[in-house]
Amino acid sequence: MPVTEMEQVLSDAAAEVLETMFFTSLAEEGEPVPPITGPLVCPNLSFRGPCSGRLGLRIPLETGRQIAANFLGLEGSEVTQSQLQDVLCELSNMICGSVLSRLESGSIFELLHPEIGPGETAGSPAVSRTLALEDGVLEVWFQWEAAP
Amino acid sequence: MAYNVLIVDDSPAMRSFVRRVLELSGIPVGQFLEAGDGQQALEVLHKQWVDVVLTDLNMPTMDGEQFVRHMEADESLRSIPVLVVSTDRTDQRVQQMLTLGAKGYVTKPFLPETLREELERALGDAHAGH
Amino acid sequence: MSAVVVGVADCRISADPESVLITYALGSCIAVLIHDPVSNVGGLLHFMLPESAIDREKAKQNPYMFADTGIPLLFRSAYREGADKRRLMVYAVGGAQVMDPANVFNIGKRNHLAMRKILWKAGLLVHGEEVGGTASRTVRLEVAGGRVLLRGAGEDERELPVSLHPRIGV
Repeated sequence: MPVTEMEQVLSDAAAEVLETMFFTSLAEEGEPVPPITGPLVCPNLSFRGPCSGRLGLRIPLETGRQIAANFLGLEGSEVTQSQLQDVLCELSNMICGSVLSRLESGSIFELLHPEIGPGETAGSPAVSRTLALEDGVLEVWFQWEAAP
Repeated sequence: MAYNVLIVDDSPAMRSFVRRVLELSGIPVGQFLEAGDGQQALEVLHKQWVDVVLTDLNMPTMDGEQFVRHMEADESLRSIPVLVVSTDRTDQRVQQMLTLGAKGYVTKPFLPETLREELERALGDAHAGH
Repeated sequence: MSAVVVGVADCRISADPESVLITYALGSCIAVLIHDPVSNVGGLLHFMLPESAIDREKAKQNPYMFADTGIPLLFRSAYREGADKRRLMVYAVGGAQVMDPANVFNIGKRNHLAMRKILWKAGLLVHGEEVGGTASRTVRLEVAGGRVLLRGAGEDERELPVSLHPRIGV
């Protein structure tokens, strides 16, 4: 799949998940995409199936806090560190599921438990897409590994 | 009449979200029980009365498919309605879980209202079973 | 029956069983309708934009223009008239994708999302809604009984189906 199509898949999957369960909207198309800076939260997970790979997110702390608050129905200041990490791990899990269903709609994948990583991927990611949100920014990256 | 609900998911965030949907939906909940995987869930089920189970599929130790198989194989657990809540939206998986005995299947991400409706349907089955 | 017209960026509450709250020309705007079936208190908010942060001065002059300032006011006003949060039925209509004068696409969708976020945070689920599409809509709430009736441009009027029922006193 051409890189730009793949980027669109990442964008569509992230938008679907963020809007449905995380009550977070993307910025208008054409709005400038802010840079990803500052302390980041980087959930990521592996998946296995007909092919295997990894998906992860890079999220500035403030954006992550807002997303977690939206999901839990709380104010940003009420979100604990543990809740923040757990909500963002679940976000990465759902985006991964949505991406895989768009790429391989008939195949069953096993999604392993997400974890918070250091923010650098092993090797360069195959594709990534940075998304401007109404209040913030996040990056989704996706990497196929060798077929089993 | 109040229902005991068991949510099985390795994400505490997901369990919180489901709990909130339950609280907002007006469904009278007696006990809200939680488990992080199928193994823990079976332990809960053997100790507590449960009216309905919501389960994820991708979980460590014992995944949702194995968990549902165990429930179906156990005469004391077979009649408890199970709702699958999973990122897996393939037709094959949905059919598989319904054939294994799940009463409903909700794909993530979902609207809170959708989960509420599916729970109402599953609880309708809970009424019928008792 | 007496019609109480709710304008754009406006909100009305009524406990009068003779009243019908009605609002017209919902394009990208959203009407949030609420009704307590026991006290028969009804409310209708017609808001235009999602977040008041874009124009705090305007929000001070007219909080009903924005979802984040209008929706809490809608509910608080209804509680003052005798509505009980646990009994409230909540509906939403509108949020169509139309060109608006400021040429901002997707305002309808963003209004809907803002409303959902505010309701979730406030601890409320929606019991029926018709949002999106491209047609402008008119909607009315019969205060006695709580029926919600809507019409798209050029269509016959129909009742909004209720997808959830509150389980009061079970």
